[in-house]
Amino acid sequence: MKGTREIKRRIRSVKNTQQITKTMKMVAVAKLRRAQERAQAARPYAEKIREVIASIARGTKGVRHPMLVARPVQRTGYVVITADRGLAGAYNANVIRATLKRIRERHASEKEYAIIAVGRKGRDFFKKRGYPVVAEIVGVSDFPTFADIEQIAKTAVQMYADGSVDELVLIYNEFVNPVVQRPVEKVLLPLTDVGEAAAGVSYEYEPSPEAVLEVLLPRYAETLIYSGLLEAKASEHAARMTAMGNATDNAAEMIERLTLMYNRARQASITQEIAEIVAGANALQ
Amino acid sequence: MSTMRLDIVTPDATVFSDEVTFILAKGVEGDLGILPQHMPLVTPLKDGPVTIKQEDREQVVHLRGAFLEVRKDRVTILAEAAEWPGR
Repeated sequence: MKGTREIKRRIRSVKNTQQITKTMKMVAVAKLRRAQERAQAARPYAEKIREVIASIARGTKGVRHPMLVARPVQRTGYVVITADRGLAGAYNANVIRATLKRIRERHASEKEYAIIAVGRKGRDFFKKRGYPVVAEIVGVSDFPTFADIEQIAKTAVQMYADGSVDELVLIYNEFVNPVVQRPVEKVLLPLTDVGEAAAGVSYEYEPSPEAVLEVLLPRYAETLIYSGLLEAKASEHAARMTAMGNATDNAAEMIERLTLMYNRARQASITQEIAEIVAGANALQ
Repeated sequence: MSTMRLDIVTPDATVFSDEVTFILAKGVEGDLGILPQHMPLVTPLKDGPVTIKQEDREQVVHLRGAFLEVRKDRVTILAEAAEWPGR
């Protein structure tokens, strides 16, 4: 059996770790709540744009726009959203695995896809292994504003507009509820389904329906990337909350086991001491 | 005096939501003055100030990447960014 001193040191170390994981969990809980509020606040904007696009698409016959029509796919752009930091369970691994799986299934060579990496974990992974990362952004705040990611969203949409990719896919962890997040792939462009328009309004478009679409469609795609990011952030905090909660529980269990071990060792040493004293006293008689 | 509902929405939040009497904005085709009962209209706006008149006051908000949607008694402005002087 290990000496009592080593066990004691071990207990202290596990306790320290437990304190850290416990704090991280509580921080994640608070951040999760705020992230959910942010995701909620972004919804009206995206919803409104979608509504107007849908009403243009429905109300005016024969309006065509490259972003609304699927074309033969020669090259696909993947916007992959990961976290900047780890300690969030399988959060980052899940997104990366989903991306790799899709790439392996769909593409034969590196020329057929490009990766736009959001978040340090994903960027490092793909860059280190030589995947074609064409754009990246790291250090996005926990509560990103639209301005934070505007540049990368515009770059991604521009790549579709100028034909360097023929399809834009967003891969991120969808927030199902605080304990379930799962990686999803969403086709951002082309927008084949803009949904139903609110009935009964026929607008006047200035200067023309086509010109309005020209402005709105890229905007809408950028907004989708933004709402994806907000959702991914909420998922990140939720994943971290769960992971750190588990770590705290495991630490508690470990401390319990070690404490038991420590007491046994202590008792054994006392028993031994007594036995030695008694033996010594007997020898004197 | 009749009013209309104005909502100014950015991706981050709804920054304005109240009854107004008059809106002055710069559309891509020229300046637009919007009163209640305006015809339904959708147009992008030029970056710059938009004047909002309410019964008791008048304020100016600066918008970037905005567009305007008018319905009978409801106006929505979607902007990438909105700034209020002095706020």
